[in-house]
Amino acid sequence: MPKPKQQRVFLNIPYDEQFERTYLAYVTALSAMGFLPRATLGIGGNRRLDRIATLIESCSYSIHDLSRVQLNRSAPRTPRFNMPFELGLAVAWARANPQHKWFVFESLNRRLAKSMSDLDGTDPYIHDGTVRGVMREVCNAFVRPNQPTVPQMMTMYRDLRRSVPKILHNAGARSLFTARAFSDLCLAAAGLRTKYLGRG
Amino acid sequence: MSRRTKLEFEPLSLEETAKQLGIPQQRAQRILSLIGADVVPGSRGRRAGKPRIVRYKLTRKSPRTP
Repeated sequence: MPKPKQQRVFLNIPYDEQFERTYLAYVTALSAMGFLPRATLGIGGNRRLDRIATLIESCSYSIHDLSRVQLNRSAPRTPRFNMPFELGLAVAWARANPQHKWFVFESLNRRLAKSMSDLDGTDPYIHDGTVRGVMREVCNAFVRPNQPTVPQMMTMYRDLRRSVPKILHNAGARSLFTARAFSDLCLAAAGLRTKYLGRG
Repeated sequence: MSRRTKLEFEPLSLEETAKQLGIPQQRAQRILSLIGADVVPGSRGRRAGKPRIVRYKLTRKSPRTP
């Protein structure tokens, strides 16, 4: 098995339109910290689970956003189990491979104790469901030399958001939750890091 | 114990980032020019590629006295 890349972070988030701003905030904040975000977008087929596990194993870090615990609107109304399931995969992987670090993000304080009491003793990073909150909490989770500031990340975020219509147009997509749009966004965010923060 | 994880790796170059994301060079170039990250200072405009003109401002030798 190839050694996990230190720059790679597995991003485990809900893929829905209501979450779009938070999704862009994660891509921006993680890219500003020098990470290369990876996600399950575009992974399909019969062996999807194997490919998700391989993706987690190829990353040194994983971020699990458990803020979408509500039932969805369309019938039959169901909660989304993918995020907690993928967190379980990452926790199991990290127990066998302690170099893998996982982080839980939530939008509401103390809700995790109710939704997933198995994680009692794990402090989630509470982002309040805001873009600035995501950036603040990513900065609380990680520290690095030449750490970007939240205002610098917000500048990058606004630029990235302005480029979204063009990225969607070029990808021929209606949603940002597609494999091509995701990779284009990640490269654009890395470009903005170079533009505003330099290489390091 | 600190909740903050120290990162000691160097971020990837843009070329390496595009490679890891599986983005071909031409498409990568288009994305980077879209957000203005492909522009080297001084590479565009009327004076592109020409040496920078440095203008020295004359300074007073002594403060003005009434």
